[in-house]
Amino acid sequence: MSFAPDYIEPRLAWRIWKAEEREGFVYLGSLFHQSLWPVQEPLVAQCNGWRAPWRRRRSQRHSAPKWSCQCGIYASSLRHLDRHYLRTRIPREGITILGRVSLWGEVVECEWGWRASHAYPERLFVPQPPRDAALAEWIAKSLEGYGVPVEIVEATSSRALIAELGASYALA
Amino acid sequence: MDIGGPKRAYRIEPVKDPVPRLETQPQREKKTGDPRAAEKRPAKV
Repeated sequence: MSFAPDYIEPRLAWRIWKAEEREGFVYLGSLFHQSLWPVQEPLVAQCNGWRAPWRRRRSQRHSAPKWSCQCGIYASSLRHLDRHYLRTRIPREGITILGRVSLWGEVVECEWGWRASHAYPERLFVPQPPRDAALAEWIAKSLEGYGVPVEIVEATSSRALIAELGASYALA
Repeated sequence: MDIGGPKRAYRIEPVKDPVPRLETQPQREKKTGDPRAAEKRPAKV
């Protein structure tokens, strides 16, 4: 038996990565986990919470995202990134990449964002600090391997980048 | 990332594949092992 999906268009949402270099190429790296987003393959969520020793008794292995867990691939609105996230949680070092992602599969909609089972970048924005034009260009060129539009935006920080994009994307 | 508590759940099955399937990956395959790539690369990411 098969069930009809609720939607046939992916949910578009926003997130931030750190630029991670591996063997001469730049990948999108999670800010909180040791994981890289694969190239030309969807990122598929898995819950590792059950592996934690202090959770083994209470948590069983399950597919992600689960309603009552915190697992899944996270993304939020541009407005939420600006108001609640960027102000305190962006690493001081390295270059952060901002992007819009497609979310699909099983999706849990939350108060300020979404947790999904599948995700892939839809477009990427690389901030270009005034003194690092060459670095931004090199990162953008390498990120083109994801096969999605990559744009360099003159901005000194991720917050400035969001402010710049806010006009075009209405902070949606 | 704090995105608050869950409100609802649903399933999305896109008609069009959200993952672009390129025939080749010139940026990532041809540069591997090419010393010229390292020369062009800025010092630090």
